[in-house]
Amino acid sequence: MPRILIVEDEANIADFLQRGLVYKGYEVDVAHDGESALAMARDRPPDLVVLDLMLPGLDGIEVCRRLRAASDVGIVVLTARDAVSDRIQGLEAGADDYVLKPFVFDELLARLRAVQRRRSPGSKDVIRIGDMEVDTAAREVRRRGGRISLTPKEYELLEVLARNARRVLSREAIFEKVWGYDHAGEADPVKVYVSYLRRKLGEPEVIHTVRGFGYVLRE
Amino acid sequence: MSLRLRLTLWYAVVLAAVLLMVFFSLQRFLNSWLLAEVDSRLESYAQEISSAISTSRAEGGATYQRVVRSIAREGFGAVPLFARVVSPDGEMVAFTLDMPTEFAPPDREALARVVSQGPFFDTGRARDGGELRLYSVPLEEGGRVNMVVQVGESLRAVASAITKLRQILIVASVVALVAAAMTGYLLAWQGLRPLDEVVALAEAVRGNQLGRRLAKKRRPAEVQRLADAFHSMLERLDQAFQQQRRFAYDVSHEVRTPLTALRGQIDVMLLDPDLPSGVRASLQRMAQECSRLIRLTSNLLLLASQEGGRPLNLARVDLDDLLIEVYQEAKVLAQDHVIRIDEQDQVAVRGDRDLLKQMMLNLVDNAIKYTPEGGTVILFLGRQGTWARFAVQDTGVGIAPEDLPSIFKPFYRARQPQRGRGGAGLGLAIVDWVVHSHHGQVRVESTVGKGSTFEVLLPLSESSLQQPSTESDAADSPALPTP
Repeated sequence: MPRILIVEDEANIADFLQRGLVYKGYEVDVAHDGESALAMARDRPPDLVVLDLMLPGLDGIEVCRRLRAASDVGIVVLTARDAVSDRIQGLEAGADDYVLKPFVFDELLARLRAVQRRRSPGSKDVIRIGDMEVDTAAREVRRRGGRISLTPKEYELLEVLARNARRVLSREAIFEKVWGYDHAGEADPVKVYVSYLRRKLGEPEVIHTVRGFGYVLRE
Repeated sequence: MSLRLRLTLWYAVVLAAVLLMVFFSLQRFLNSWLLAEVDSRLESYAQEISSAISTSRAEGGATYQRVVRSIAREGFGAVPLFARVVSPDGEMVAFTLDMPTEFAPPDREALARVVSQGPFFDTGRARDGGELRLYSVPLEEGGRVNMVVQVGESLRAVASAITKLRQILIVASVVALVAAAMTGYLLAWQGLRPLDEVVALAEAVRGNQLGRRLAKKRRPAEVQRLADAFHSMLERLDQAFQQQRRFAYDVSHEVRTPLTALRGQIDVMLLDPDLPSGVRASLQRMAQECSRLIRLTSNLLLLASQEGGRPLNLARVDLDDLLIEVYQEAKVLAQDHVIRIDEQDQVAVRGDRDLLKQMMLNLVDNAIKYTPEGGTVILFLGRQGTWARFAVQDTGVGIAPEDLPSIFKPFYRARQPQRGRGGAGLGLAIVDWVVHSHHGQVRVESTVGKGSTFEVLLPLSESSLQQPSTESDAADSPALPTP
């Protein structure tokens, strides 16, 4: 169960973040200032940190820098729309991504999932399905020896399918894993990107549609 | 008529009047002065002849003719003079040689006047048409007038002197008038030129350029006063603008934290799948209103910081990712509408991610705002040549043709707002600003009663250009044709 450290001095914001993330299955710690955040991160190392850059006492940027120096934890900073320099400084201090206040919970969740996926990519091995190889270390795809050039999104989708090869994944599950949101609603990017992938991967078909449910990758 | 032209014309008119006065008085003065000279010459000539005749009479010798001819032969300076001696009844007894052609025959009336009243001057006409000055003097012998001496001088020289003077004066006046008019215009132009700077500045002043001032230099006092007044007005305007901006900024800044907390609390409550449907619906409405408030404050903040010259934070932006984010947020806003994506291509542009997102959200928000409940809002993301194309189509109320040119102006709202859903009229102004600061274009097509399509074109990033998606194929086609 991934552990998240929330560093936020506004009690009402920290509160909903905590409850929402717990609901989404994370283990959550909350710190209200920089010093206690650093101490907590030492005692119970988190997988992800949600860090408000406007903190009393120890400055958010500095907290970010020290967290980054101590570990390769995934860091998402919360920042103000007008504080462009904060945002840039935050990214330079080692943050993985930022979310502008006021934000929507789903968006923060999506960013956290994306950062988590990037920070802990799972086993770095080569997955083989028929005549196709997905090299998760190099993020490369080869088929019959030829390298196939994919966009980052296409690759991420293919990797999700490959890691679950021969298992049927629902559209929602794929959407959540690749885009980080829970509900796709009327938009169905999965379908669109699957069609891009199919075109690039060529014959014989490896991505199969399970009508009314989702997709499966098999030879 | 411009002030410059008017000043110049008045100059010229006054100068022309003065020149005319000078012209006539000079002519008069010269005329009487030259005439006086002629008269004094004639007087002394007549005097000479009279005394010569008296002398010769006393000696009892020479005839009138001989006396007159002897004097005429001696001449009288260089000026040609004529003389004759006439008896009171008009008989010419003596005359100088060229006499007959110059003088009109003796006039009895004139002779009678000399006899009765003494010497007098007269101006008559010579035979050749020129004027003659004539001086008649009575000669007395033994207490009665028995002869009249008449001397004369042609006034041709006087006339030609006056003609000369007139010519010179006319030429000189014309030259003076032209020179004065030109100088006047030049002076007026120079004197008023500093005004042009003030005018140029006044025209250049925009809401975000109130810091501009005129260069410091010497100006006419009147213009300087105007410039100073203008400067102080700019100063006050600038302050007012800054206060307004500061206020918008502070308010939006202050409400951000409570809004984040409010929206977050609602979002988290909505995570619970076991909510009673009434509570869920009510929470969703709250989330919607919250979103709208967030939109408004974000726009206000952006407007306030944009006028302060916020730099773009440029990076590669995957618009398809952004589209999903925008769609997710728009779902909350569009609870009474159908919202869907009909085209999503993988396109990237170089730009400021946050601004682009705000631009897209504003377009979607605008479409929802002006579409009645149950209407449809469709998003498109594709390519058009070297452009990324983002479009929002709605089945809303549409925009009247006369409103179309103004909808991108800040605070503009169509004359008849169709629905209660307000907005400060900022959304589209920000769309316009964001698109143009990304070197893109924004277009609207609209039919009243049927709906509108807003279309944004942004230059594709280089990497996006190198990887154009091929035309869609068969069944799983992602891109529906654009209506």
